[in-house]
This record gives sequence, structure tokens and C-alpha cells, in this order.
Amino acid sequence: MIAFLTRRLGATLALLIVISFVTFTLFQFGPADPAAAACGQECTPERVAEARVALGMDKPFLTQYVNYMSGLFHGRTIGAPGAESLCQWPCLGKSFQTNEDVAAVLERALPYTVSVAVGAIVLWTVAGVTLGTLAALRKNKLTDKLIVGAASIGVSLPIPVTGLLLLLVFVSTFDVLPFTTNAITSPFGPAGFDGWFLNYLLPWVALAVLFSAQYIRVTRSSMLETFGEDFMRTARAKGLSKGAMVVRHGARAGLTPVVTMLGLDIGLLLGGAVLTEQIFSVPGIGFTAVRAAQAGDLPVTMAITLLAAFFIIIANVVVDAVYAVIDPRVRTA
Amino acid sequence: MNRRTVAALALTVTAGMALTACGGTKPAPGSGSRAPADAFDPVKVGDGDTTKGGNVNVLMSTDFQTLDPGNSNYVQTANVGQLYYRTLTMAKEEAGKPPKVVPDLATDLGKVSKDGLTWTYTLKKGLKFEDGRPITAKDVKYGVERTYARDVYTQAPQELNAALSDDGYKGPYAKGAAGDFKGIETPDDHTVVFKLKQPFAEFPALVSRSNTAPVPRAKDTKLDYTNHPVSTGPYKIESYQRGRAMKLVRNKHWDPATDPNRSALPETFTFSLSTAQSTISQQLLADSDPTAITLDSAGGLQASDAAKLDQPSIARRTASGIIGCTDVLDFNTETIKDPVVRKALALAIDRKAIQLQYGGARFGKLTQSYINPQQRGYVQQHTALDPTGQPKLDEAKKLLKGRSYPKKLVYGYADATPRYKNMGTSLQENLRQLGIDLELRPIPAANYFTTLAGKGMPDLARSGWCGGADSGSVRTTIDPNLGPSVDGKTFGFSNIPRYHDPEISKAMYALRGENGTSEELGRKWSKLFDRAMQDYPLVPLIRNVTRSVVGSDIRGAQVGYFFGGIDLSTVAVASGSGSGSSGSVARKG
Amino acid sequence: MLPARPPSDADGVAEPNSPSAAVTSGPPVVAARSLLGTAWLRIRRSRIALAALVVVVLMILFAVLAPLLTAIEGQDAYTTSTSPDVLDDYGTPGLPLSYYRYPSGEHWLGLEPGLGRDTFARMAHGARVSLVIALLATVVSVVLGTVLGAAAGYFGGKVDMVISRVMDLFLAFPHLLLVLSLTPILQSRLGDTALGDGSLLPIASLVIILGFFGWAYLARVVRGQVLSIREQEFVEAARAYGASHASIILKQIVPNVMGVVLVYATMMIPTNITAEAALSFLGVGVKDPTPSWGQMLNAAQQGNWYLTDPWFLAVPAGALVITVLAFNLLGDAVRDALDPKASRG
Repeated sequence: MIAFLTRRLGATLALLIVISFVTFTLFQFGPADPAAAACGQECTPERVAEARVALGMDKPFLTQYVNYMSGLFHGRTIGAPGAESLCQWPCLGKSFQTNEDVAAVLERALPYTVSVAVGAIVLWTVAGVTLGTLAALRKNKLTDKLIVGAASIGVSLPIPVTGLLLLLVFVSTFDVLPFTTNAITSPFGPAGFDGWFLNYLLPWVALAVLFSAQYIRVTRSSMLETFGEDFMRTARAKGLSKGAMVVRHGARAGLTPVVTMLGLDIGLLLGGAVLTEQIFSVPGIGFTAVRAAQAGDLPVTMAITLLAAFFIIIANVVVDAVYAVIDPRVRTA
Repeated sequence: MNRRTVAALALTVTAGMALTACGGTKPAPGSGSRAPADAFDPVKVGDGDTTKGGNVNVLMSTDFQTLDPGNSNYVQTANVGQLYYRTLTMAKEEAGKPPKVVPDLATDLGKVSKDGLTWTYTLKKGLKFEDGRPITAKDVKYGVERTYARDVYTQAPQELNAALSDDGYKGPYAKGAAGDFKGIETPDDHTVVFKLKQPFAEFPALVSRSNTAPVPRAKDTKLDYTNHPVSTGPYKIESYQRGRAMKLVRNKHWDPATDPNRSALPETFTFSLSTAQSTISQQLLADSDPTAITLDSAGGLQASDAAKLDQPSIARRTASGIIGCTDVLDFNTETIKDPVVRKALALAIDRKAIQLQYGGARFGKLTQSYINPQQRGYVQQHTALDPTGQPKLDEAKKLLKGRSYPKKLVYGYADATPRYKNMGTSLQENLRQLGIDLELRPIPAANYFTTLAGKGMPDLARSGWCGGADSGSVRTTIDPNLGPSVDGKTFGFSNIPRYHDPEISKAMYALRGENGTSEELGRKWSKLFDRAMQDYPLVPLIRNVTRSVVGSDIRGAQVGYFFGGIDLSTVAVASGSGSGSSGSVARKG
Repeated sequence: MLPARPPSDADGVAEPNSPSAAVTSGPPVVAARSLLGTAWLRIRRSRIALAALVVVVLMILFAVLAPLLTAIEGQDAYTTSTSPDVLDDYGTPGLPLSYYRYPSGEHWLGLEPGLGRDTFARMAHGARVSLVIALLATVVSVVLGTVLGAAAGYFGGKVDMVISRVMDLFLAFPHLLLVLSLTPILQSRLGDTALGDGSLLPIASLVIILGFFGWAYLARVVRGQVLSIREQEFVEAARAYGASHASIILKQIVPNVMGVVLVYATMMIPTNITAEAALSFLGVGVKDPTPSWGQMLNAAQQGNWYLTDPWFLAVPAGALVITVLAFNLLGDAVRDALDPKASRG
């Protein structure tokens, strides 16, 4: 097990380094010149040159990359000679726009993204698994058909459509929910659980509509598969009711694919739900990424790409590890 | 027309509209609603209120780019800066008019030598930093010195520096540079002497820029100074979480006796940084926090919010006024060389349709010139454009007859702003009438102006100018936008039309060094500008109007002409609202 | 390997459907020639699949005939009408007066706020743009995925290692984030080429970006299939007869993975439609004046117009959802048809 994890972690690290290099290279060709962006309407060529120095962009490309990467492992100083400022470990550079430590920018954005992710995941997992199991139990009956039909529609509802529709109906027209505010980042703050819940309810619903549909499908087919297996037949022969069967035996075997999917989705979602955060104005990772991309704020874009890739890869490793525990054959694969 | 009749008129107009809306039948031509003729008089909310105490909650969609006076070219920073830094002189906002330059740290607007090359300022007595240390002439000098370190401060304001001698200075951090700056002398702790390259009549306005905010050398944390600039004003920063929130509290070392310009009525200011703009506008319209205001441009209002401004409960809480920013459409005079062709294009443009993209007459006043009568030395300008913004197609076609002109043109726009793209779509339609195919080319917003200044300048592009703190001077509009380069040989750097007329540009170049009063020099600039405008290097479009809704307990709210938003130096909170409450969690009304 | 599923984004911009469980397992079941026939037989039996097919065909026809339809309507997608007789001049400036806001004989789906262009014409022309992007991007992904996946599986060894590592890299990238930053980069690079001309640019750039980021998962699946086919007798036989690599790949391997590829292709189309909509909605894809459904969603959100004029949101949203739903249902049917194991549910 340890050998397996070491191997995977090694590969992960290598992958992250490659991703960082590719990203860093790609972004050098960005349409917006950050130096020119730094000094506005009266930006003479001399000032652009001075801004390049201020942003550290006057150095050769490889030097910039090595500096950036070394900052990940220990702090470094950034800035023009004579006016360097310290960027503490783990240094992801300083924002071209505000000169703030990028790590601080991410630290600030993460609670919003986590708030969105936690609720959405709970909502769609509960809805997806419950409805999926129900559909499997009532296979080919009306309930099943309704649930499967709803799932088909659910996967066909893009976030911009659901999001704007929810805002239009619940916030603007009927005025039953508040506009999201950035003052709330946790259920334990002054706004309490209620405030947090209401604040993030719409983003959760928007995501859950899309995702629970997938979970319904996977749960349903996986449950049906499990029902068909021998130990379930035996259980049924022993006279267990369908409900008891699901709870005692089906859940474990039938939900394995769901757990896998969940692991990967958590990884994805922590990297920021770009569209959802944008539509509901939640200043999380995805929202920050969009603003940084628009402003040509390279260090921020770079850091977010790395962070998101990190979450994705870690989620993969964790899912693998969980699988390895369940099924030892995987380890040698 | 006074304020009340305007409001009444607006009301009847809306009522009429509602009727047509219900019918759902096609309206007869010409029955569309019309804006009141002149709704541009400034409106203040709770003018003259002197209640002390309370908290003002400022909602913003983004954090301040910087709070460092030495690294700021941003109006929002200048606006909040009034609360925590003072400068030698100050551009004091007066709604609907260019700000008035008044003494601030200095005892007067400065004494100029006969040759116009030396300006001397004396500091008031009893000025202190927030730590109680006295403010000296050296601190003022050091503040200016920092702005020469342009490789550190990418946004350091340069207008003052450009006027001072000692161009070679590289700032206080460059090796061996400390104390070397020759542009300013400090014979004693109270006297600051500026050495100029050329006479500059508007110099008192230049030292109102944030460069002259004193910075104690010992407290200069360079780029981190933005986290806690040392206060010289009525408030100081108590806490500042980047991107989230900031709180300003009273600075007990600020002596009101030295400062007649800031009323400093509220006890505290809280800033909520990074609330989405659409949320800000909804909160303000719903009055969900009665102590809230916003510093977002255009009051954070969304296009579809406009009609709500006529509701009496909201109209009561709306401060408004024309601001210093004027938008124009620039022609690239290097690619569209013939002035007659440019005139034809200008006449074909439907400026009324463009005004609609700004939100109609509530948010933009059609203008016939880049400069306006409120500026010193303005003289009557001439143009063939229709004052109501209608295109003059026949005239345009007549002008083009028999002339060669490009059949394909490119309009570039900053891609972050739908309004400017929509403007292009409208222009596309107009130019199609002349048989010209207009391509719309998005330009990354962050690089927009450097693109226009470089090889990427398209045939047409929008630009705007706010005139800076000294928007009362015509020169600050004319010279950067149509003037020649520093050496006078070609067009200037921010001269987007690339306009360079051998005669007119030469005259402008000569005028730069001339000694005289702001008024008389202004008249000369205005006349040259009018001559240049007969070549149609640009088409004047819109003077921006800002409407900013404030919470129902807010008093003393006026829209700053330079700031383009609520002037923080006059704001107050009506008695009865809780003091010091931090940003309340906003729920919709 | 982990039980993978197609790369998706946090917002489900990429593939929300998961055909993986179905198609990764077991050897191919149908030969290429009868693929479409089998699919058709299956679809004909399901009313829902048939309806989905009809909608898809109608939508494609609608896109193809867009110029004709708008000509019949007597409008076009670009002409603005900002006169005060059409758009509100003062109340809510730019809001179409009620007659023009909703469907009428003159403007079948009303006018858009701000510029007063015909919504039907924009929706119809937008269908062309959205569908062309989605279909071409799918073609790019499918070709790349099949070729690289087949090469990796067939040649094995170093070729496999290199291709597999590249696949891992692509699968680990946060797609939407990267696409978001890369699209403007690509657009600025294409700006000076033949593709940089006006409305072609966003289409070309989105096809390249979406196509380029969509291949890795398919390649992984195809590789798995090829690995098992490679060892089968008919391939061994062909090799023994001295058939060239090219001939084996084309004649033996490719026909046998076509089932999987077809399933993936149908599933990728709605994904790409959604992705176009998402990117254009975020303002980096198709840009005004070129219409697409995503661009129209973007326009509806700008200035909160959708709150005062919900109809303006309903048109592109409706077109998008109906089309994506139809493609998804069709995709399900194709999958069920070509892989009976998956249809057991």
C-alpha cells in the first residue's frame, strides 16, 4: 500500500511540474501585456519598460519560471532592485494588479468555493442516491420513468440557464431569497447556519440540478447490477424485504461507483465552479480566475490553474487509494 | 427648470409609458417617450446636514487597486484618500462643476517667482501624522521622490514630475540616489520649493495630486505601504483585509482647525470590498442598509435599473451630477487622411443611438465638444454635428461624392465593456449607409490604451478623458488628447487620433512654455482646439452623468465631478442610526 | 486504472453523461457496417429516441435554413433599430417597447434590448454558429482521439507511454479554467491569419480549443479497446499474412472501435454545445455582433436585462436546452443500441 501511494505521489508531483511549465509557457503568449496593463492611458513605452521591471518580466523566461517554482518551496523577494518585498512561503507570486501575495488571494477565495462545494455536494449526493435507488427499486414503473426522465432533463440544463432562471424567479420576481453576499463564508460566522444556508442555497441548487442527474443514473444502474448478483438473490431467498436488502447489502456494493465519482467531483469543485460563482457573484476561486484572466493577472491565473490541477490529481490519487483498499488487485495494475 | 419639475415630468412620462405597455399594440411613430430637456443640474442628498457620528458603509465591487498615494492614478483611491491623506493643495469637489483648487497642507496656493519657474509653499502649523509626529517639508519632498521610482510604482502619477526639473532622478531606492533630488528644495521644515522646467500656470492644481501627500521615510514599506498608509487626514486605517473589508476610524492627531475642507462627520467608515455590482445596485435600490453608499462607477447601476430611479422613494435618495469625463470617437488620422471624409463619417453617426447605450439622457449628455464652458478659458466651439445627435446622412453623402475613401474600416473596442461593443454595432449600421463595411475588433481591456497608442490603432476607436483633478483647465483636456509630442515633432503619446497639423500643433507646442494666467492661456488653447476640430480628428459624444443611490440615512451626499461617485469628504449619517456598526449582512428589502 | 469517466468540469461544462461504464468493458460487439443500421433499429423502437432524432434533425435543418427563414421573416440578425418608436428612450432606456418585446408577425421572437436587433434572426443564425462549433469540435476530438488512442494501443511500448502521459496531462488540467485563459490567447494569435477575419475567428478558435481538449478521454477508451483487439486471432492472422501496420489499423482495428467512437461522438456533441454556450456566456467565446446561443445568454445577463425582459433570456435558453436534451436522449439511445450491456437498466 505504501509503495503504491509513493509511486502515485511521485507521478503526481511530476505531473504537477509538467502542468506548471506548460501553463507558465502558454500564458507568456497572452493577448494582454501585463506591463502595459499596469499603467493605463498615459502609458509611454518607457513606462511599460519600467513596469516590466516592477513585475519581474524583464528577466529571461526560464529564470522567471525557476524563480516562480522556487517560491513554492520557500519564500522569495519580488520587486525592482532596491525595493524588493518579501513573498512568504508558499509563495505563488504577487498579483500584477494589487501586488498582493497570490497565496493570500487564494486563501481568501477558498472559503467561498468550499461553501459552494460542500452544500452542493451534500444536496446532489442525497438527491441523486435516494432517487437513483428509488428508481432501481421501482424499475420500469412510473416512478422509475419519471425519475429517469427528470434526470435526462437535468443533465441537459446548462448552469447559465439554471442559474439565471433561479435568480429571476426566486430573487427578482418573488423575492424569497437574498442576493448572495460576500459577508458570509461559513455556517459558524455571525450570520449563523441559516444565513449561510440561504446565502448559498441557489448556487447549490443550480449545481445539484445538473449533478444529481448524473448520480441518479449511476446509482440506478449500479444498484440494478447489484440486485442481479448472487448474494442479493440469496438475501432475497432468506426473505429479506427489498428495503432491508438495499440498506444491508446493496448500499455498499452499489454505491462504490458513486463514491468514486464523488471523490473526483469534489476535486473538481474545489478548483472553483467558474460559471456558478460567476452567475451568483460568489468571489471564490472560479470567480477570481475569471477576473484574473480578464485583467491579464498572470500570477493569479497561474496559481489557480495549478491549484485546480492539484485538487484534480489528489482526488484521483485518493480515489485510487480507496479502490486499492477495496480491491487489492488494483495495486499491481 | 428646477429639480422638482424635472421629477414631475419624468413621472408623467413613465405613467404614459406604462399605458402603452399594457396595450401591447404597435405604437404610432413618434409616440416614444422623451427625456426631459435638461436633467443635468446636480442633485445633492441631505445637503447641509451637520450631524456628527455614525458609520458610513461603502459598498464596492472590487478592492482598491492601491491605497498608496504615491502609486495611485485611480479616482476611487483619490476619493477615499481625502479621508486619510492630505496634499499641499486640494481639488475640492463641487457637484456638477470642476473641483476648486484650495490650500490644504499649505497656507495658500503657492507663491510663484517672476520667471514662473519657482513655486514656494509654506506648511500650516500644527500638522501631525497619525502617530503624533509633526509633518515637515522633508516628508512632502519624500512623498514626491517616491513617485519617481516608476519601476516600483507602476501607477505613480507623473503630471507633477513632468513639470519639475531633474528628469534624470530615479527615486529614493536607486543606489546612491538618496537626497539627490533637485526638483524640490526644503530650506526649512515648513517650506517646500518646487523648481520647474517651464512656467506652468496651473501649478497649484498639480500639487493637489497625491504625489505631495507626505510620507515618513521611516515608515515607507514600499509596495506594502498600501496596506497601511500613514494617515495625515481625519481618519486612519484601523483594519484592512484585502479584497474583503476595511475600517477607518478617527485620527486623533488630525486638527480640524488646520482643515476647513473636510467635514469629517461620521465616526467611522466601513468598506465592503467585492460585492457584485448587480448586488450593490439591488441593495441600494431596496435600501437594505440605510447607511450604505457605493463608490462604483455609474453608481453601480445596471442598464435595466434605470426606470426605478423615477420612483419617488428612490429619487429622494439619488445624488446626481454631470462628471468630468467626456467620451469621444477617435478617427485614426493616419489611415483616414482626408478631413472632409472624416467630417462625412462624423455626420453619418447616430449619436443618439450611442447615447442610448450609455443608458439614455439620464446617464449621458450629448456634447458638441471635448471641452465645456465650465472650464477656464473656454471659448465657443464650432461643429456641424446635429446637437440632438441625429445623423445627417444626406450631407455626409454629399461630402463624400467624388472623393476617394476607404470602403472597409476597423473599429476597436475594449472587450470588457458591452457598451463600447454595442456602440460599434451601432456605428456599423451607420457606416453601412455610406457603403462602408465596419469590422468590430475586440481589444483586451487591460491593454486598450497602449494598443491605441501603438501599431494596433484601428481606424476608429472610442476614448474618454476625465481631465484629472484639474479638470477646470481646458489645457488638461486639449494637450494630452490632440497635442504634439514632448519634442513637438510628431503627435503626443496619448493623442489617440494621431493628429498633427504643421501649423496648429506647432502653435500648441509653443503655447506650452508660455507664461500667463490660466484664463488667458486657456482661451488660446480653446481657439487652437476649435481650429483643429474643423479637421474632425474626433467626434465628441457624451458627457457622463452619474446617478448614485444612497441609503436613507445618508446625508451630505454629492456626486464628485472628478471622482465620478459620492464624495466621501462631505458624507454624513443622519442621527438615529447606530454608530460603528460594521457592514450589516444585507438582505433584500 | 481507476474507473474513469469523461473529463468534466466543476460546472459540468464537459460531458455530464457517463457512458464509460458501458463502453470500456468487453470487446466491441458490432461491426462497422451494421453500426448505423443497428442503431437505427433500436431508435425506431423507442418513441423518445425517435422524438429526439426528429428534434435533432429539425434543429439542424433550422440552422441550415436560417438565412431562408429570416428572409421570409423579412429581418436580419445585424440591423439595429434604436429609434424611440421601437426602444424605450427614457423609462428603461433600451428596453423594447412592449409591442416589440414579444413575438409578433413582424418580429417573430421580438427584439433584443439595447440595440433592437431581431431576436428570431439572431437565434436562427446563432443556431448555425453554435451547432457548427459543436460539430466541428467533435470531429476534431474524434479524429485525434481515435488516431492517437489506436496508435497507443496498437504500437504499445514507447509510443504508448508518450501518448498515455500526454493523455494524463490533458485529463488532469482544469479544462474550463484553461480554456478560459487560452481562448483569448488563441484568438489574438489567429488575429493576423486567414482565420482571423471577423466572425470566422471565434468559430475557428472555439473549434480548435474544444476539439483539442476533448480528445484525451476518447483516446484512453479507444486505447483500451485496441489493446484487447490487438491480441485477437483475426489481427494475429492478418499480421501473419504480412499485412502492413496501416492496413491492419484501417481494416481490422478501426472498424472494431467504431462502435465506441460513434457512442462518444454523439455524447460529445451536446457537451460541446454546452461548452460553447458557457464560454460565450463568460465573454471569451463567440462575441457580438456574431450571434450564438451562448452569446445571446451573455447579452441577456448584461445589465441584468433578463430581469426586466425575461423573454430575451427564454429564447436562447429554450433553444439550448431543447437541443442539448435531444442530443443527450439520442446519445443514450445510440449507446444502448451499440452496447446491450449498458441498456440492461
